[in-house]
Amino acid sequence: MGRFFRFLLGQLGDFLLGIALTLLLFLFVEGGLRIAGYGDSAAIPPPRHLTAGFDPSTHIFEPDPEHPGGWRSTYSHDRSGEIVVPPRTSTRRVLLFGGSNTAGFPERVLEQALTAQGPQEYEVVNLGRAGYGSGRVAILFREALELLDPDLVIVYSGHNEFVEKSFAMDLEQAWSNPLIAKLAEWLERSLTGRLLRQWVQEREPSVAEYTRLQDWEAEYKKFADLPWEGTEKVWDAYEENLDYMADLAEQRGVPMLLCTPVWNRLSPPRVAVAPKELDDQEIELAERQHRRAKKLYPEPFRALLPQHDKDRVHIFDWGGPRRRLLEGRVQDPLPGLLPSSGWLSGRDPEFPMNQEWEPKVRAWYENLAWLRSPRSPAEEESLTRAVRLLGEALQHRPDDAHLHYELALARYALGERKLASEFAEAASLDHAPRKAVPLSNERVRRVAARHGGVQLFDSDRRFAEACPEGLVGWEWMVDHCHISHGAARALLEDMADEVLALLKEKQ
Amino acid sequence: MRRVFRFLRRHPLVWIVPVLVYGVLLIYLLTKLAHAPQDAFIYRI
Repeated sequence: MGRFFRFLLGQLGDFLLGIALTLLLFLFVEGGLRIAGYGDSAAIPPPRHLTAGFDPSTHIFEPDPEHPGGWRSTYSHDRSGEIVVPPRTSTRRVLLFGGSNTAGFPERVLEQALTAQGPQEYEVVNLGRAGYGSGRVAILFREALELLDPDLVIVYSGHNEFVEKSFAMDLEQAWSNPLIAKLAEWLERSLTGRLLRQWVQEREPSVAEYTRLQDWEAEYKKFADLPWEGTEKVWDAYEENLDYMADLAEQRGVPMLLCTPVWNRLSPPRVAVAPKELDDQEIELAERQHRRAKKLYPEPFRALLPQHDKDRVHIFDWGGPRRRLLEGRVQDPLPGLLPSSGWLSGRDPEFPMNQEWEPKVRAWYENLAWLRSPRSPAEEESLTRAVRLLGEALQHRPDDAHLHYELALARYALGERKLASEFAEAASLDHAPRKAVPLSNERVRRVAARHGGVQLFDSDRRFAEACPEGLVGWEWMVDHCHISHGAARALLEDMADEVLALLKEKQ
Repeated sequence: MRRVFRFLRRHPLVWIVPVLVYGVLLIYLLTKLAHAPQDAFIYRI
């Protein structure tokens, strides 16, 4: 027994010596890299936050060593994408929060519109980040409010609730083991870890390098079976996050402008799931009528109802990185567009230059032009029959977003124009939209109404009022949720008066 | 040198542990890190 115990003790000693050697080797390489000047070198990628903004304890901003008193973000995967916030001066500071729409907002437009009123100077800091839903916006919001000391905050968030949830699910799956996650986080913070990680990434394609949309089909199918209770939970969390931000702003006495995000009415819904309590026979009857209706759709109509994401028009189909494509101007007029009225009248949507468009962009607009053109007798007959069948299908499945949308679109193709509420209903029934919908925008309005320090800026309603037929569509949008550069410019200019009024009230 | 080898032969854990850590854990972690889900990737939006 004594011998065995001595043997075990010896093995433990060896094991500990092995661990010590491992650490020594690691420290040796780490120290060597630092001495060689790799500590601040661009040759090694900066550390990523593996929790990617979901961890409330993560610090997003760090003091900017180049501008004492200023801050810089530490979020991006590349240094060029970081946000640098200058030291606080007497200049009034406005912070913008949201997802990729906000990130693409030309914040200088708002800055200039505010400063033009004189004599006060303004700075607008754009903290919008692509892919951010209200969950992470709220975490960023709390820290920014504390560190950056804004005079006013603007929140334009609501398109990414399911996008963010999907990313959270991916992260949960990847880092489900807390020990592995801790070790990886630690490794990611070391120079050695990042250098080796870069080396691995250069040698085999990582997720980031999959460049074909087909590789991402699974991304869009994640919520294919999501019951309505799941959808409601996501919208509940959205409202809670907005409330949380409104509370924080009120506590600090910072006025908040809460916007309803603008969504595209003529972009089909994504997910329809039959309620559990629904009879199988009812589902089958609805499906049968739906199939029969589909067979009657004329080709351009069918093309406006893409079955796969690769057939939808996305912001990246307009070419190039977003910042660059925002600077372009379309050279040939796009077909199928109607003039807007009121505050949008005569404005240029500033679509990106068309040299880099995917062919499907122009094809999409051509189909849109077909939709708005007069029907041939044959088309009229088949669409009229389709409308009847879709109506019958809806009797069995009144919850189905696709049926509602297709019925509204078919009636539109037949010349009906007052269909805004039908398109709105279709969008609100979507179980996993990748855009704001009337249901979520109602929640925004509710949050604003609940908080005295929050002013609602109903961007979506403003657009709907000025858009042809009350339908915000492809005149001002480049996909299901992204507004065009000209639309963003118009929105920020429109917002300036409201911002000034709120700041005056604060004084 | 011979003494070092003799030591390592008698105490295999001293070298097995670093080999396992670097050979298995590090490669596993690095592969995981390299393939970590991407946030701002365009197709997600």
